[in-house]
Amino acid sequence: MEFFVNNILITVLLPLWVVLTIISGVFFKYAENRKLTALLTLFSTFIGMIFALCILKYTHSTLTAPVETNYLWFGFQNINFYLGTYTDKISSVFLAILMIISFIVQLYSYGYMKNKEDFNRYFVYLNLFNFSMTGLILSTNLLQMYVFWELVGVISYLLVGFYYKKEDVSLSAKKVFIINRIGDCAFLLGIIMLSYFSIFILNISDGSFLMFSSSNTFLKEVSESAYPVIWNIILLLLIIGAIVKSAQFPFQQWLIEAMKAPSPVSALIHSATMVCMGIFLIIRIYPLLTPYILKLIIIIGLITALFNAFIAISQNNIKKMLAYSTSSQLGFMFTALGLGFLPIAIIYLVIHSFTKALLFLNAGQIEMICNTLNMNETPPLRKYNINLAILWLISALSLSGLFFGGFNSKELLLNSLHNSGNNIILFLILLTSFFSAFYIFKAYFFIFETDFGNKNITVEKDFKITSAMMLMSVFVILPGFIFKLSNLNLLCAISVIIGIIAVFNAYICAKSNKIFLPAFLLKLSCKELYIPEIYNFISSVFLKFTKLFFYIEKFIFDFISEITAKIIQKISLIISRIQNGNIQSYISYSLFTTGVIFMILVLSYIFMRGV
Amino acid sequence: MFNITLLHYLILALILFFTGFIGLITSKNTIKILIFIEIMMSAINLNFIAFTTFKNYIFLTGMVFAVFITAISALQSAIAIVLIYLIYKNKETMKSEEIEEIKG
Amino acid sequence: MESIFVPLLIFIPIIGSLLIMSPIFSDNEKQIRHTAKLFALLHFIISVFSIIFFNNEYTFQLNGFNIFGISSSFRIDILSMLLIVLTSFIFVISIFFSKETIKKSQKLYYSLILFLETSIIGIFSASDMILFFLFWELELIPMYLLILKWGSANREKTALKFILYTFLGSIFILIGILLLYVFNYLYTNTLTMDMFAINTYLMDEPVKNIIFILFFIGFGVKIPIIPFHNWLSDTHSQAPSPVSIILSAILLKIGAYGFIRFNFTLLNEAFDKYALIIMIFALINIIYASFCAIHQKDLKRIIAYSGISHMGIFLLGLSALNEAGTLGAIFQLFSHALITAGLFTIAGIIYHKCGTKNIIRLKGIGSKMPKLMMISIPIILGAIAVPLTSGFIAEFLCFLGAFFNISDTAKLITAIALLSMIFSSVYILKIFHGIFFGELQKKYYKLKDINSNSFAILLTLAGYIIFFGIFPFIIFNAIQGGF
Repeated sequence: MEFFVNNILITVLLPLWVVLTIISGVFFKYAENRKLTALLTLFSTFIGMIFALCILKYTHSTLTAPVETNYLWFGFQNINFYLGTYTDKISSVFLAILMIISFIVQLYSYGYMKNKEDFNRYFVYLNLFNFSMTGLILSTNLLQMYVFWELVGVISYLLVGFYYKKEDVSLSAKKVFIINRIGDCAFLLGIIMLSYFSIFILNISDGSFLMFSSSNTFLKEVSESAYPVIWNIILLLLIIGAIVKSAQFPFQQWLIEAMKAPSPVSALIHSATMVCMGIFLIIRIYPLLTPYILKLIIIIGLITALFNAFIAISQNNIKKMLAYSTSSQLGFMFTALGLGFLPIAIIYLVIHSFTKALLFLNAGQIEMICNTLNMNETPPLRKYNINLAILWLISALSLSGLFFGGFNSKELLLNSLHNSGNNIILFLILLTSFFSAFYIFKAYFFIFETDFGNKNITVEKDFKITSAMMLMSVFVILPGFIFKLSNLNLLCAISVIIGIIAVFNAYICAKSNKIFLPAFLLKLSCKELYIPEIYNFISSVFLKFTKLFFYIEKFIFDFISEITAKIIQKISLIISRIQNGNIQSYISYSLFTTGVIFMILVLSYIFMRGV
Repeated sequence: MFNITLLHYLILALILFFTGFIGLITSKNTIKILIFIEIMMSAINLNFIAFTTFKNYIFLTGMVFAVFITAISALQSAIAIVLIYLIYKNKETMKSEEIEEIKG
Repeated sequence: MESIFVPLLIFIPIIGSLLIMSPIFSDNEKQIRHTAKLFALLHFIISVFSIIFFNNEYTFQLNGFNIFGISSSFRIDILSMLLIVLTSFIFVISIFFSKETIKKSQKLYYSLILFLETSIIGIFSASDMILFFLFWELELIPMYLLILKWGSANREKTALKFILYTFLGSIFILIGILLLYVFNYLYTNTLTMDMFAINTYLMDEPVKNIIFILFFIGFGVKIPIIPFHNWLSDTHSQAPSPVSIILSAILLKIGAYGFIRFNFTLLNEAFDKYALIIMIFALINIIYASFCAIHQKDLKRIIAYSGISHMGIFLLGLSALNEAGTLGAIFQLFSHALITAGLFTIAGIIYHKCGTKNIIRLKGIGSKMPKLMMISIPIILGAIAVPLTSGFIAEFLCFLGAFFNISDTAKLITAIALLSMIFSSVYILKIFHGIFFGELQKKYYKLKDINSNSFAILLTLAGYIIFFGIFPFIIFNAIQGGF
């Protein structure tokens, strides 16, 4: 078992090898066929999966302390920065999620991309994503985490812009990258401030100031020092990075724009793995957080959860609704983290990842069949493909917390909330669960049961796609029987009843094609709380502001150069009029000058003599 | 009458010089320019001779120099006449304001 | 044995230049190109050898004369050595790339390029200040001719503006050099023009401040620092593409080199006093240039403004006055040279194939040129400073060093300068999306993908960007060992 932990670097580097193989294959044209690409990718992910599962078992049973290896990257004076691997319980859980979902999504993609072009480029990106994500999960310190954090953002940008020939995809990819960049910028500033703070103020000089393993000793030193404001600012910057990456309240726009990516990409990146990295960061730096920051996390989590669920109930685009749903569920996890329930947050994350991934894969299949992502335009798919319906139902039941895995996680969350006495938060969570159940079942009824006229479908069965989705559903159903329930009581019953009422509401809504909300609330929800408009407004203000500098450049600096040149030209034109060809004028000028010089000499001589 | 001193001769030479100069720069006929140059030369001659005379003939270099100036001015006007004749043959004009080839 | 390297490094290109220009040389274009490539590669190999055998410094005296302190002595220490290797590499890239875009008067072109290489290597290796100034002025001549004869539409005016503007800057450098000479004589009674032998510790503070300001203006024209930057965008836009590569990758670095040698090393007390002001200039460079770049429509102008922004990061790291900042600043010189060479190569390829530099008219080329799009991704990521590219290490160390500075305003300046990460991604992605993404237009249906020559050049550059991003310690050990 130790073999797997000691050689964990293989999981990081194997996808890179596959990338190089694919690229050289395309370049030298010896292995351009798609089968080899897909098989190599699946093989590397499979090896990674085996590693991850063995490490998971090992860390949860016999391992006592985390295994850490560090390689020096660069350094100066006595400050060194490292890259390395850090294996403990948390990273093994995330690694397992990544590898399993990645394997299933790659299997699905093999079937999904079968008839599309740019197959090799897609799998190159998927492998690079595996590489960066593994590096991120196994990182030992904040700087390495930042490195792979940005790399994951870049891969996500490249994958969102995969269909680059379309104009709106190009624009969305830009927005995704720039909004992610804002978070990265704050994160980097936080790292720099943290380095300064620990080296110069706290005088830690052994180079371990960014390491996760030294977090516990760090906290003691922090609490002994008297710099609460700076410490809170540093933590705030790091948390902003996490908030942006996990698409929490002001920054969820990038996740909505990222839905232009192919559906398997959405399943992999934007629901299950990359967006959970904000939560991962907070878990890693948890011993450092102060009560203020924790309160902030709770508030942002709650706002996100409630508002995004509220927006999702009126969306008609399937993937957009799922994106808002992802953001909302992540808000749940943030709330749990802020209250201190780390194991609950992790369990919720595990279950949510599989559930949401299955929903996105389902959405991809729906798009392939009906050629549309609008739930109003799909024919009643239950008649054509009962598999999809069953799978959607399974994941819907899990997402709304009625059955399977979601039930366990929601019940854990509600019980801990009640036991710790946060009843307002409990109420808000219940309200949001009502919305969650409502929108996911509304989607079910709209897609699979109702018929609004569009009969244009192409039915094709692909074994890989179906098998991938079945495999994923196993992972959705299984946690329901693995994770033990804590306490079946009245609270669970209330939440189940709320869920059933929401399902009923959804059924009525689907039948009458109308949502029962006051008109202005409905408008707010449809317009996504006007957040895209606010983003457009901010960016247009920014562009106008920078245009000022462009005008300064054009009208001041260019003007100065032009004016200098013109003035000198004019002066030279004026002076050159002296030379007019008339010799008599030359004679008079020379005599005049001679006279002047002579006068100066004589006067100065007289003056000197006089003095 | 009063005594005629060196100063009077110098002032005469000055007036003569400036007359020649003003005529030089304002005359339109090129031959007139030559004549005015001659007037300036004679003013300079007068200057030298006046200095020699009124300093009691101690340094005769002034006289010698006056002789040189006269000789050379004669030569110079001979060459100038030839040049003006050639310009006249080329450009058909005697007006100095029409000869303005050297300009910037 | 080692002292043979210096004259070889300096004089091989000019021998090549004279050889190509001489009437006995053939007029066959292919032979001219091959000779030029041969000389450039030979020079690169010699520079690599000389850095492998580098011990502490190389010195070389030509003729051994000494008139009033002016000698012709060359001295290469570690900073010069690294920059010379960089220069010869960029010239190799540029000469290989010239095959694509330069079609007329190739004899004159290649001899001018090699002559330019001599003058730049001379700047990096001269230790006598008058010799330094001689080479500094000497590079203006081939640049002027290169822009004048092979440039784009507006080239006469631009070439004239370039040469007059930089010449005006060099006047300040000359006055500074003469002042250093005079005051060194006044205080130590020795006539010397050697920049390593000038003793500035004995000079009074007002004198040093004035000399500092003079050098600041003089080198600030070349770096460029914002009030003196106006020549840059026009020149980069109108110059032919290989010359743009050399211009942005190397000529900005000679300004930085002069800045390090004179202001940072020689006048270091004045530098300590003015460090915060220089940091403010650096901040203006970074932010102002990013803002200007966002609205430009000409492809090469955007890249020129991004160069100004990156050199602002260099200034920020240098004025941080600690080891992290200095390491970051020198690394930024290398990283920026590679990145901007890559960007201008891409711009040159596009301009040559599509005939326009206007981003609005270029759109959707990615469908026809997927190889170009793929190989330009590492270069674009380097310009945005994504980790695992060299741009990130340089930026990170510069910001880290600037933040570690003692004063509080430095920290505030660094915090604002970090926003440049967001702005740089705006305009760099504008280039990338504007060229490659979108629908293919009708007039570009006949485009062919890039040939293997250009691809090899871009692959080398992208490879080095990623290589130095993952293994930066190669350069760091060299700098820390000798500097």
